[in-house]
Amino acid sequence: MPRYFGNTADTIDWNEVITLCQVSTTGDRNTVTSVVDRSEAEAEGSLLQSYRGIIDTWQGAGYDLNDIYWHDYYPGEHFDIEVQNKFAELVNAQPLRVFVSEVDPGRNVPYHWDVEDKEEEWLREGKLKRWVCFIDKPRWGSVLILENECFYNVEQGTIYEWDNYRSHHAGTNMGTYKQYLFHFLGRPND
Amino acid sequence: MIKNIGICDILNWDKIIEDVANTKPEYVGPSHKRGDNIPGLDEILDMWDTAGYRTVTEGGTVAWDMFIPGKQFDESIVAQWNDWYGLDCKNVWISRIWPGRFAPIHWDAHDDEANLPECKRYHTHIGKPQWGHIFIAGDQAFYNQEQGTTYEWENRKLWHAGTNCGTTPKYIWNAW
Repeated sequence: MPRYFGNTADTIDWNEVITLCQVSTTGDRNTVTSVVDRSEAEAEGSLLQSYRGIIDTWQGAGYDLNDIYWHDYYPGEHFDIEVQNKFAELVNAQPLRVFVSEVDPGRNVPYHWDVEDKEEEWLREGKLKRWVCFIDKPRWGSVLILENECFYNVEQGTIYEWDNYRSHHAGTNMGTYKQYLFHFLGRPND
Repeated sequence: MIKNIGICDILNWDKIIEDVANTKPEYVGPSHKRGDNIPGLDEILDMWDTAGYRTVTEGGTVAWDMFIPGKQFDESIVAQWNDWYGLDCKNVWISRIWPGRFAPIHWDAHDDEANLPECKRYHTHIGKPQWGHIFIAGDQAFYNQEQGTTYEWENRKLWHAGTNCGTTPKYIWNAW
């Protein structure tokens, strides 16, 4: 199960990060189509099967795949790289994939795990760990489900360490504000 | 204030869900629209519009199915549920939310809203716990609730919402 790691509210100005994401017009818009296109173009073997497995699950459950989209924002591009550096120091890990996710009201990023194109390459260098940080104030209707736990009204800046970087999760938003989460996949230093 | 009032285990909820799943819902919510003369409705619709919600028929994700006693399920189930909790709820329905669909933040503005007294409301988690079945009422999120668990709300006008980011339809019993 996810483990409480600590709080970053006094270390990182998350409100500023959110503001920068909100005003950005260059966030990475992810759709099922974009995921499929990327997987077909870049993935092969088990990686390709992983992508297809998630999409098959969604289709089997009756999701309208056109309804599913979210945005990602990256350190050094959409917000200060120092945010990533500070976070890496806190969790004592080398950053491999770091991003802020944004989910609009009325949108789900349904049951899935994050397929990583470079997973095999990264694993050759050592083990992987993942953390999530609740970077916004608690917002009505903004929910993260991770493994078998529902995270709601979590204090701003709170970090949880995942049990497994491949854990299933979903973001959903039935409120009126966009949902922002900070994700950090890295290689622990110890 | 929301209170757990126990588990109703005298009803075969799986069978009730199975029977309801084999019927056509009475209607697909939301049943009210802009311009309906219902106190409180504009505030809800304003929130939805500002946040960008749209119904499924408008190309969005807002939709839930409604099942009514005496139509899609037997009224005797309502009597048994009321007896179990010592209640006398007259307004009862089962709601269903498909994966990817939303009943966004709202309270249950009623056709006869102007003439209704304030009263308590109840909800029962009639499905077994399923990944992604999430319900919010007041400031509480309900997840992985044991089948048959019922909660009492202080007031039927409490803000609530439901969605489903899992892989199976979600069913909730509602009463006041």
